[in-house]
Amino acid sequence: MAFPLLMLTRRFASLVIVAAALTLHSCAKLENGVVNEIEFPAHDPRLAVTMFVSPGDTVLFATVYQSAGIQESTGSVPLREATLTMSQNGTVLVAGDATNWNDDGPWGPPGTEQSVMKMVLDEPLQLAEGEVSLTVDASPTFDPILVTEAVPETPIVEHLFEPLADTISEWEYSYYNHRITVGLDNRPGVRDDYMIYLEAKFDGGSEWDNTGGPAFPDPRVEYNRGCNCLLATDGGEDNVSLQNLVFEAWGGDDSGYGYEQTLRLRVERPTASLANHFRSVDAYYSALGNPFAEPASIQGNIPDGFGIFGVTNGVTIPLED
Amino acid sequence: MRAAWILTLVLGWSALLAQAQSRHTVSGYITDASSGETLIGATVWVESMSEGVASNVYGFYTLTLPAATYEVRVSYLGYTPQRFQVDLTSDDLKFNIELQPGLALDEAVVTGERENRIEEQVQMSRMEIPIDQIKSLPAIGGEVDLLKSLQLLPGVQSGGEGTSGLYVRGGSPDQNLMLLDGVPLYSVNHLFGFFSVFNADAVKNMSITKGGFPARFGGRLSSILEINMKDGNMREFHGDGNISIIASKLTLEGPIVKDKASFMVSARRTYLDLLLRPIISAATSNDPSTAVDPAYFFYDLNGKLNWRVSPRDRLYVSAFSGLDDFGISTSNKDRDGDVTTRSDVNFGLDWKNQIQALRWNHELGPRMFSNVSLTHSIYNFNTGVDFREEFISSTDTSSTRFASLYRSGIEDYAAKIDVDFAPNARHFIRFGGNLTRHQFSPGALQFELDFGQENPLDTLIGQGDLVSHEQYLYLEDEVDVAENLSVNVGLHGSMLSVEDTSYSSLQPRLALNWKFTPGWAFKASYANMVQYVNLLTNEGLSLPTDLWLPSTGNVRPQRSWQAAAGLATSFDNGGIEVSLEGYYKEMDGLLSYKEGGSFLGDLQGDWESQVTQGIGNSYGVEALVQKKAGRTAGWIGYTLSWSNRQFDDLNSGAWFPFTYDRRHDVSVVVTQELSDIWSASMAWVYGTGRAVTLTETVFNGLQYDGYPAATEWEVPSSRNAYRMSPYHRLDISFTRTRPESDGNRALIFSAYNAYNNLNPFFALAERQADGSTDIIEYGLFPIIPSIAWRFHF
Repeated sequence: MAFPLLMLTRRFASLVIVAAALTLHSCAKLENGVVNEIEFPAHDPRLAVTMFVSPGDTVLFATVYQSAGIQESTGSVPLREATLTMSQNGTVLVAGDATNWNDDGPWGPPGTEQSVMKMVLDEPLQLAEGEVSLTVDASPTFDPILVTEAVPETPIVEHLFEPLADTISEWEYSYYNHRITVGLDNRPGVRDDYMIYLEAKFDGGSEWDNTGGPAFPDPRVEYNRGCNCLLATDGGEDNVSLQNLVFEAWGGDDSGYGYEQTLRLRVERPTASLANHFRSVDAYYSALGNPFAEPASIQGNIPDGFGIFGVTNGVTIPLED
Repeated sequence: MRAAWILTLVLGWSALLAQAQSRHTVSGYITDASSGETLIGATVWVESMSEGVASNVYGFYTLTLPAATYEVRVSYLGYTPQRFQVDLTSDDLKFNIELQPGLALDEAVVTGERENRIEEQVQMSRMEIPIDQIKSLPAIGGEVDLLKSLQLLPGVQSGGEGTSGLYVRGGSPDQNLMLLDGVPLYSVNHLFGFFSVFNADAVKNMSITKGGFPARFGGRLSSILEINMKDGNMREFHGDGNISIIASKLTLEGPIVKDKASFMVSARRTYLDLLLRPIISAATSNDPSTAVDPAYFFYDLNGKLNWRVSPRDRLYVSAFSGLDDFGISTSNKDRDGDVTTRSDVNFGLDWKNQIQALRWNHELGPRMFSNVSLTHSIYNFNTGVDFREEFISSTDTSSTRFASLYRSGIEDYAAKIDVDFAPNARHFIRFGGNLTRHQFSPGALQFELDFGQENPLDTLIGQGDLVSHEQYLYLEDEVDVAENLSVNVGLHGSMLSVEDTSYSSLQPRLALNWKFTPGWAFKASYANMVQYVNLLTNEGLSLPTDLWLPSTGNVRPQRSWQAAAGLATSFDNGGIEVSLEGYYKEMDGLLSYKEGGSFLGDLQGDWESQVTQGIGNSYGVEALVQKKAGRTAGWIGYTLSWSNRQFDDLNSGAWFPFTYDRRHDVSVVVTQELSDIWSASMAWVYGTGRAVTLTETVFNGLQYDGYPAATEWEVPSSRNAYRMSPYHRLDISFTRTRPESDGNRALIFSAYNAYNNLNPFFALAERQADGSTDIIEYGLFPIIPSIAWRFHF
């Protein structure tokens, strides 16, 4: 009996030749393991606008950009000829145009001073209850857009400040914590989100820095990288109390270091879309560099575009003995 | 309404019992004549009555007929059919049947039995591949894999290149109930999913049910995979062995007391660690101050004892243990003047499965058979790193140690009873119940820090164990309503108690078979399913880090309903089966990490804060042409399907395709006996590329950092908006079998990915020199030739 493998090879000679050709052809791919380059369709540029406002602001920053595809080397392009107008009840509160780009910018990577619009107000921003609108005209590249948000209600904040309420001893070293107990309003039928900042400024300093955090793990409050704040939420549940949120802030140690500081509690109420934006930014940072993480996008409220027109309204409470 | 339905069932059942009084029953076990191994699904058929029954999972059959003498025919795939005269004129009859195995899958032996044909079976969406056929299929590295064989069936998809995860009709891997001797297994993967834990040499039978679930099944949404270990040869001592380039395995079985008790034990171990160690050592030998010791291996052990305590009682003890152990140790020693610094870093990752089962079969009478099971199943995952550094000088010695250990797992204890009752040839009733205690360890991280301080830090971060209790009761009846219409109707009721929360559900099940014309059957089914355990996993990447979690007060159970309809027929005297099925499935309570979430996420918070729940649907058409026996056997399968998801917290709340939404899926499998010595097999698969999310857009904006800060965002496309390249692969193998006086020996030559098509495994965004970014797909496995030696004695 003939060797069946040879018989089979003869019978399917054409198949064998095709298989051999395919094998040789694909050997080249093995050198670097590359299968294929995924071709993106041509990027459809979209308008990207970001601006945060809060009553009392004296300087406002904004960005107006054209998005770019990840494969484009140019990156996102600033739309310097765009005009920006924020108004309420028919009154223009803030306006920006090409002249606002060439100014000192906020903190950011080198060169960012050329990348943002900076609008210095003559007097602190006054926002009444009701809607506030942002109009961005980046024509002819994009059609003008209008974003309208309701100015959030001023949060009602109860607080109890207990200076040096807690003494912690570790490894022959003792330090003291202030305790701040905060009560916030949970309005029925509405999701309440609050941005909480515990801030300290050393005497003689000019900057307020975040300090402290929750005194114990509390599912109602978590640090959020989107707002660099402690974001408290009722999760949209009416039966979740936002009372008795307990925070601690470093008050000093045995050496006396730390006593010469001023503390304040700042609570901002963001619009719903802004709170959602903050959560998405936090998720974005969680996903960065983590191959196991679910991909995250940045949520916003710009029609058919990217970015956020965010409005907050808050109170600042000095924490004193 | 429910009460009325239950009352109807009870009354109907009583009527059946009354009717049964004038009838007699033939019952017994159907076994392999050479080994005494019980045969699952063997058919006992009475031609004159056009009535028949199949043996159950323990080989037991019971058939009740009007008092008379009958000729019965007993048949089973791969065995010579036999005919017997059965006298039921005056009394019940206990009749154990032994079937002679035919020549391996001989056409003349196997086909032609009408009762075996697909169009006769009420159950739809259930598929079975004979183990001998699986063993003849090409295998990666020569290591036969049961789950990879299932991936070749329509409606069942793989998770990616080389992986053994199952995605059934748009479901995720946790929606498959994997039962090994009736015990759920929670992780079925070795080597990060490239092999399954099931050792083909230790397995007697395997089937998968994708829809039309009978009421006796529950607890998962997408499929039931039943794998039964061999009981052990009751007559003679035998062994099977396999040596491949990846692993070796040995299976021994034989009688403890002939025809009374038997054993089966099977062990498998890889030797990648032994092969790689000298290579790594050679690679690092030029740096004597550093030693690197990587290690990876997996093993699994299967064991079973089978004891016929009495003619009516049998006991089975089953056990399985599997472990994957990966580790890498590096040691470094430096000397600088008087000071010697020694550092050791040990990284380890292991996961293990264990199950034990004690089962007691008891014939409560000729028409009633019961099985009581006590089972235990445990899955543990651990990963950790241990860093030690020592500074030694002539005057002083100090040391630093940092260690962290992350662990998670699930442990079940369960008790279960199943009863089969056949009051007459027209009814086959099953009922039973189950009680399971789950203990979940949802992930905890232990830190140890010792740098010589008075009180070294040793702390545990994460959530404590969580216990839940799950119960179910079921009742089903397979009824021959008319000569050409059979139905299986049933009800599955389940309940979960966890912490202060409880859930309950009633899940109706219905399947029908209408033989509307000779040789053709229309089949339809409806099944409601509820799942109380969830696997929290990152989409598209199944890892041992995946967390098993219970439904809780905040995480509702997963629920689904599925309707399916199709046609079934056979040709060539039953030798070729053809089926066409369409299905639609809706799912609720699907669990996913929120955007940005991962198992390494918020360890201090509870896992519930990281997850979100949503809904999904899947629908499609599956076609299968299968030839199970003969010198040429195999199948052609095709699936056209859609699978979508919607979560309020993902993709801005919009629907998106499931990552394994695979529009087209084709498989062609052929096994061919070339001669008495040579045989060949091939499998070709094609599937639409996996849906993936890719970073697509860049825009500049501001970040609210207390104060605004300029930033650049790179954001993904809408979820799973892109497709990786289609997947296609050809595997071939040739086997040369040489009979010996004490058994046989076989050499298997195989090639995985025979035409060397580099299939995509993952995609990466890579920044190019001009500042642009390319998205590159990377493959994993080129052609992998292998050789294996198999022996049987």
